[in-house]
Amino acid sequence: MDVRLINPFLESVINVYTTMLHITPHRSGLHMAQGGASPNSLVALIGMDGPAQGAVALHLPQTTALATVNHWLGTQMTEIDATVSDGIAELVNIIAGQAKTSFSEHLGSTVSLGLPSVIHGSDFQVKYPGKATWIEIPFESELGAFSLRVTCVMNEQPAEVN
Amino acid sequence: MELDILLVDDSATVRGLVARALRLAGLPLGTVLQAGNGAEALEVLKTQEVDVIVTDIHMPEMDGLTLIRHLRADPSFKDLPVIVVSTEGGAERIAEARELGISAYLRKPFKPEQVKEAVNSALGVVHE
Repeated sequence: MDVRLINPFLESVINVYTTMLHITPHRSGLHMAQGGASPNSLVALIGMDGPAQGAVALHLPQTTALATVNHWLGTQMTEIDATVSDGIAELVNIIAGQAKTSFSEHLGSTVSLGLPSVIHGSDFQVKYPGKATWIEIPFESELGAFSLRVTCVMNEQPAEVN
Repeated sequence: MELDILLVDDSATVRGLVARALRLAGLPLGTVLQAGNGAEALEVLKTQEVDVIVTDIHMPEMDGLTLIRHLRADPSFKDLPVIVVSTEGGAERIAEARELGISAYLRKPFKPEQVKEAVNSALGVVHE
């Protein structure tokens, strides 16, 4: 994956957090990642299709997930439940939805997004079929650390018909 | 004047987020009704009057655009202000919603002030 394609997602995370959560997250790196998730974390995933096929995954430790949804909804939840999962799913949905426009512009064709899903657990791997690798952007914020991972492979252009 | 609003989204959490944004924006909210899709919204409207509807587009059973078509075809609701809030940003989809006579199209992420502006604009249309 061309690392420059990650910029729309990076910009989207900052914009979504700033606009909807009034929090400014700070990027603390950029690297290739494996599919492993941290213990007791939530991963919100959304698939991409079209000119690029892949997935966007928001990884949050449980404490960050709770702090984020409590801050967003004005609640005091202490356990991961459907409301927290829904909130994190909505967050990745908005992040991917906003990144989609400029990501599609980079690719010259519109990417479509699937519906978000959330995985919560302590020992799991998130793998994408094929040889695609994940690029991870870790963030620090006052709600806790989290990261966004993106993986995608370009679909071959259909042959031109003369 | 307190505003009675119907929020339509298949996620209760998202309905809560929009309701919170409306409150943070300082809108004088009265009754905030909720529905999980377009069909539920039409059921709610059989017994409750609202000033504004805020709806998502993608929902199971009946989506937001179908809901708006039903409203516009019903003399009782043809002028009811509808605000669409969605992550969907495609020009065609926005144009389709506008052709159905929506008052505003808010793309997520949005600031509470933008929701307030949209609601005020929607009510302005009603009072014209």
